[in-house]
Amino acid sequence: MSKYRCNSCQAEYSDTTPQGAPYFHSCSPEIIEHATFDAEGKQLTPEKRTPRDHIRNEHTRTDIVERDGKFGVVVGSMALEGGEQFTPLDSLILSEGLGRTLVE
Amino acid sequence: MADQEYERLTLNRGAGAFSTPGVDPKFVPTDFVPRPAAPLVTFKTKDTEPPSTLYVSQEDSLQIRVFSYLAGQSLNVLLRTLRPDGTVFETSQNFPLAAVQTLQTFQVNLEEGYLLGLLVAYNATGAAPHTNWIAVNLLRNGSVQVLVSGQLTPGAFLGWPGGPMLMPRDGAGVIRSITGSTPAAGAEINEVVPTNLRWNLLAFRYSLTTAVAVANRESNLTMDDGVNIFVTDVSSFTQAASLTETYAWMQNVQRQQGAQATVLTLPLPAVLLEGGFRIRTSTTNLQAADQYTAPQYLVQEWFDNQ
Repeated sequence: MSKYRCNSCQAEYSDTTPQGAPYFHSCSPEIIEHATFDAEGKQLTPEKRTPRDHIRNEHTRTDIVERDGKFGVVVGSMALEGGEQFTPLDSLILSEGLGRTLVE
Repeated sequence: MADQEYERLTLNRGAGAFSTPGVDPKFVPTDFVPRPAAPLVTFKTKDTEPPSTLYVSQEDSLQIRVFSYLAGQSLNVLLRTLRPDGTVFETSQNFPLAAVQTLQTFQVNLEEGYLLGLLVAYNATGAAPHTNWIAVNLLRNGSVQVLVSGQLTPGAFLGWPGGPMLMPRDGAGVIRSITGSTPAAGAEINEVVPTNLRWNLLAFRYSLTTAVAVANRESNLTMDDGVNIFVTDVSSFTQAASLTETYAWMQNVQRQQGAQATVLTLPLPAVLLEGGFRIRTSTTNLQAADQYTAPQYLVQEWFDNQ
C-alpha cells in the first residue's frame, strides 16, 4: 500500500483500499475561485468555478482490448477494408495529468 | 401416571402416520430378518453409451473469459475427457491474470472425445474482496455454446455440467469499503465509479473542517454521469466558520442531526451507478482553507461490461 499526491490537484490517496483492492484516483474537474465575505458575512466577490486542465484520471480506458496477452487499442475492424490494427499501450489509464508523487 | 401417559402418546407411533394416540394398537418392534435375493435390475458393462452428450473434436476449443482486476491472481482450469478408446483423460492449465479492468481471454485446445467435466478454480487465497466474472464457452470459429458463467471467490469452484449461467449483473455482487482521495484545501470531494463496474452506493461519509473565514457553508452531494448531474442531495445544514462536521449519507435513513455529536445522518438515494459516473460534494460558499477528509464509502459492486 503506497500513498501518493496527485501533481494535478494536490489530492492525497492510497493506491489500495483498506481491504486490499486497488483504488483509482480521479481529479476533481473544477478549479474554484472562492467567494469572499466581509466580517459580517456579506459577500464581496462571487465564487467562480472553471474546468481543470491536466486532469489525472487513473481509471482504465474504456476502449482497451486484449490481444494475445497484451492490452491496447484497436482501430478498424476485420470486417472492413484495411482490417484491424492493434496498438499495445504501456499505460492503460484515461489520462496521466501532471503525474503523481510518492508520499510514503 | 406420567409413565402411562408417555406410553400412551409414544408407543403406538409406529402404527403409521395417521395413528391416533390411545386408540390405535401399539407398535411392537420385531427382530430384523435379512432376506437376500438376486437384484431385479441389471446393468450394461460393455458397449455402453458415453455418459456425456457433449462431443468435441480437435477443431473445438474452450474459450475462458475472465474479468478480475486484482493483481497476482490466477485461474486453474481442469478438464476430464472420455477418449474414443475409452480412457479418461484429465488435463489442467493455469492462467495468470493481469490486473486490468477489462475482459481477458484464454483458450484451451481440446482433443476428440466426450467432455465429461470442467472445473474452474480461482487462485486468490487471502485476496481482498473484489469483483470477478468468468465465462467458459465452447469455441469453433466462434462461440457456439456457453458451458458455465458466474462469479468466483477463493476456494469456490465453477463447474460443468450443472454449473450456473450467471450474467455479470446477476447475483448479490461484492461489498467493498473504499477510502477515497483527500482533496486539497478548498477543493471538493470527487469519486468515480471504475471502468466496467456497476455500483450501488450504500453509504458515503466524510468530515468538513471549516476555516476561520466568515461564510455559511452547506455541504451537498451530487451524482452525475461524468457530465450531467442527475442527483442533487442537499444536507440542509449550515456550517459556519471554525467548525468540524461529519456528514454520513446512508440509504434507508431519515435526516437526523446529532444532539451532542457534530454528526449529520443524511438519506442517500438508491441509485445504480455505471463506470465513469461520479459522486461529488457540491459545497455552497466553500472557502480556500476549508478541508474535506477523504470519504469512506461502502458499495455493492458488479462487473458490468456494457
